[in-house]
Amino acid sequence: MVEDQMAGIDGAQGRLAVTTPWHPSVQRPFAGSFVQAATAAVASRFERVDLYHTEDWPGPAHPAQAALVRKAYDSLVSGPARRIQSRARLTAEGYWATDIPTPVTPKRDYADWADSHENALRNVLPGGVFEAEVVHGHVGIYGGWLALRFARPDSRIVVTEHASFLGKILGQPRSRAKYAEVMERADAFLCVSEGLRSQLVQAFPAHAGKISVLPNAVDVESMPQRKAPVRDLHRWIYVGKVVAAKGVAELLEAFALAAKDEPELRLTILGDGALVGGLKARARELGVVEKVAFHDAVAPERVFEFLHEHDLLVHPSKSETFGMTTVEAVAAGMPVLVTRCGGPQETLAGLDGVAGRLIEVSDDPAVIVEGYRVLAEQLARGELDPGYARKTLDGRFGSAAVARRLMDVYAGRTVDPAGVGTTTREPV
Amino acid sequence: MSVAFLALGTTRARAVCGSAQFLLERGVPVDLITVAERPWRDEGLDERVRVLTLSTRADRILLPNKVLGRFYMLVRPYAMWRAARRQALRAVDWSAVEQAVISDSHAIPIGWHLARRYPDLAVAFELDRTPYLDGAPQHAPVPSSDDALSDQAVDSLK
Repeated sequence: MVEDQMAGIDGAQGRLAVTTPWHPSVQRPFAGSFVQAATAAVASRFERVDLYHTEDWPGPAHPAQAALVRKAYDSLVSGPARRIQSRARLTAEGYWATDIPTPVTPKRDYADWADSHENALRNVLPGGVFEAEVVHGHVGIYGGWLALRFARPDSRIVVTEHASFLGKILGQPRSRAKYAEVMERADAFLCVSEGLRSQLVQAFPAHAGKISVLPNAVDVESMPQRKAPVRDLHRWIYVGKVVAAKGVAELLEAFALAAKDEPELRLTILGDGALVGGLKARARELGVVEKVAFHDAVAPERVFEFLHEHDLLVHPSKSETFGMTTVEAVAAGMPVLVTRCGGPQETLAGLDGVAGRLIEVSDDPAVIVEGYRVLAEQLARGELDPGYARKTLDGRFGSAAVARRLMDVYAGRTVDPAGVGTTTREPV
Repeated sequence: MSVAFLALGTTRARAVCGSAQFLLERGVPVDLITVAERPWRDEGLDERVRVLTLSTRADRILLPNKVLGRFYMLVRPYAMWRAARRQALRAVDWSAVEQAVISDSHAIPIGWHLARRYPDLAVAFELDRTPYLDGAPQHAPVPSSDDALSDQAVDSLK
């Protein structure tokens, strides 16, 4: 039935409901931008798209207090004397979004959290169901669970898994049981990386056939390119959280090593995190304090101002499911030096030596230094091709490419497992 | 007309501070009912926002005590509501409040009490910006010394 309704759906018809715990909000304007991008990419293909954003509101840990919060919340949002009614707003991207505060306890119990999200959404949904032919849930234990609970029996359910904490979700027996129900009911399961797909296939081998990879949509086309091409790699930049898992400490050590031979090198660390204070002190110890600039995190649209002022993005993370910063840097037209930490080797598949250089994950700063030197030589020999790299990423992750694949999944059409657009590289 | 935010902690400070700024730029007076003022100022809450702090003697005496504190936690929400009723509620002219915005989970019980006490009060979880969208940003009113209501001033209202 859905296939009939969606077949050849190039004109706007049918309804799509999207349910997600992550979406840009007043409190978290940069959260869930990939959900926003994916929804925006298909908004014009449907008669109407409704996105339901159940947002965690952490509350008291004490059970009695938590119960009181729940009771007060229920009284405010449900029943004949309800005082608060969530309203849908039309977004600039062309779909309707409803923000639904969801009181949760701070204890990391994913099954409880799923129940809290279900309770919050129930109070909002007219008729208690998603009136849509397709329901797309983001994050299996949240949006996937809500899709399962509120989709019409004849609706097609598509779930996207983004959660870097998927292992923890599957490690809790109650949340794993809920996840298994979602997996059973879903018509298609999409993962934003091969790593996540492998985890799910391992946990639910009987459903391997419905699990595939569909990367996050990234609006590569609208990302501003630098005006002048990169001539040398003197100005390094790191963008992201300044925490141990991102390898920023190793980066600083590597920079100090490289700067011994090349005094003209500079490094900017753009981001917030627990390591900032310690790294500033370490920069003093290493004698590079004059060459290293620390800058607070900035809004995503401002990141390009910084990228354009630098020559090389170094991203030495230990683990990433996607690696958005790398995509942004390549789109901006600058070389990248990135660890093979999961997402980036998929993101940059076929572009090692073209967009930049992939290096092994290591605690040894010398690995970064060696990678930098090889990359500098490649740049000097004219082997890098930033234009081709950007074009490839647009074909792979651009809104149009992702929208095409999403519409195939929504309609139940066979999907190309590689899922990437192909481009032909001009000889350099 | 004014807008009152209820948030006992700063977990959603960005939303409160941003919404307050939006209102102040349009000349709308803003109150915040919370537990402690300092963390909010550290989060960048505009100085023109009048902060009404709730404090209970029990919070000061019982919370630090490990044994008594456990029992006090059971009745703390009620104690906070009593404090709110005695202190902040009397400091606000609720007939002039256009929206009461419950801005964190901890404040939901107080918001519920408030909604019951004032049946005509508009209560929400996010600021409805619609009524103010036509109003171009303007110079906010110059704060008067009365706008900064200290703990002592609130206590005097008891």
